[in-house]
Amino acid sequence: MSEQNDPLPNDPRQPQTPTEDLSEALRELAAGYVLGDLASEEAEQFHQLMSQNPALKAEVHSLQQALELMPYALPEENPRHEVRSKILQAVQAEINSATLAPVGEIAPPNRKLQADSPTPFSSSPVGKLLRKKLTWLIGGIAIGYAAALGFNALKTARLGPSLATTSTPTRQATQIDQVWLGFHDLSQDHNNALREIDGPVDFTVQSVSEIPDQVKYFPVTLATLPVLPESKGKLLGGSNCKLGKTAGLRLSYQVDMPLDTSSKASSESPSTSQETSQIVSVYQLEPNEEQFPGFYDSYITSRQPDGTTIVLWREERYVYALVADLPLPELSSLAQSITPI
Amino acid sequence: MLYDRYASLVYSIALKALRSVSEAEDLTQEVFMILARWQSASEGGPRAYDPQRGSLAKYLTTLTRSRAIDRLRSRTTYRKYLDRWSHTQTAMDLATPLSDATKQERRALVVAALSTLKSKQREVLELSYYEGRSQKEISEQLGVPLGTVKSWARRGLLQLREKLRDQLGDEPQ
Repeated sequence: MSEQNDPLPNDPRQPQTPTEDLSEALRELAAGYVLGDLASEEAEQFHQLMSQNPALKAEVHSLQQALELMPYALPEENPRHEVRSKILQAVQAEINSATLAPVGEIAPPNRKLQADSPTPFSSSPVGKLLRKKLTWLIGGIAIGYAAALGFNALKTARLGPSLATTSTPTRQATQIDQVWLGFHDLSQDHNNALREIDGPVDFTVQSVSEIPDQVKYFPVTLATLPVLPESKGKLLGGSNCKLGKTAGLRLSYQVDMPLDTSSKASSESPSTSQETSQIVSVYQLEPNEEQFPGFYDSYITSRQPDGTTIVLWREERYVYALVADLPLPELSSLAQSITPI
Repeated sequence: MLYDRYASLVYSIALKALRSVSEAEDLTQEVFMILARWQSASEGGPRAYDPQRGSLAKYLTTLTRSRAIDRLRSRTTYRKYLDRWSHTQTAMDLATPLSDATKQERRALVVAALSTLKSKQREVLELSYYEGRSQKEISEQLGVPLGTVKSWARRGLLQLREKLRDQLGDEPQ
């Protein structure tokens, strides 16, 4: 970072920004514009100028950015501790009184998750049909809320003791917390797997057809395995896992991310493409209604406070999930590429 | 965790603007509720954003400020200022203005940059930024001509930008 010693605005500076060429008068006008102190005709004229002068536009942008950095200089004040729990209560109150309208955020698996269809899913025939089934989804939405706010510690504090006893808050709240715990378990299991010294997998296979024999805790058939197409990722192997009380199979995939610096790495050379690849954990879980309520025909997405992303869905007998550190749209598109073999 | 990471930023701005603990707490709650709904509504959807920390901080800063000024406005009128802001905000992207400086480094940089401003320049900028006061109001409050207030604010901002130039992101295309 270079030191800038001379603050005079009209001093010629390093030529890397186009704002250097502007006259001082124009720059003051730009500052006035950002500060909102121009008279309306002035502002209009300035707008006109800006539309013709990219340097001026850049100047305005840079001044806006500088202004927005001001709060970082504020003395650091923290809200009282109660504020945190008040927010959670407010979130739950909202959930309890929520309508089902937000169901539109959950797309059925046969639809593109990213599709920006203006038709709310909840008003489609399928949506209506699913409504009753999906009452719990309010809880699913709570995942988004909770994840957004990162109420990890709070939940542990609240739930730790109460789970062990028979204390029952409202049913809704219990469900929400359990849903949350499911997601939390998934992200933890994924991250623990990544930290394993011996790598994320317990067994390796030559072909996916060998997987069912390796699965310990519950029976799976080849047809139900969540297998990514070879073009999407390389199967590193699998592990038997337990997420709370839920038994599961975790398949670890190496997925190459198209970074601009590298051509698509060959799937045969995982070691040379480390920086461009990601481990994606693909889970097949035995449904545990308490932990993962029934959410047929929907993908649920969640971004955990640590950045881990999860896409979860249910088909027939199993719950499936993808967990990785990828943007949700990419993870969602991987989820959609999983087909029964 | 997002709340733990950003509560202090949100609350500090709220407190600076509203000068009341209870109102600042109330606003903090409002902001995080908005974030939660927004996040929830955009999960996996076309509006899902890349939660780079810088951009989220910026989103929260903007949101907190504009809501704080909303509340101040309900006490008196700051319409012109708000109109200006609602206008410029639409042009803002969510790109992070800061590269990868840590929170403390960032604080130090901004504090240092602000400390190079004349105290009047800084005061005027703060009154305008946090409380949404018009320059006319500020000129009345400080008992100086409007032109002087204007000049302090503009030069202060230009100076601040010069000092923070290295911290600012690229210009938008």
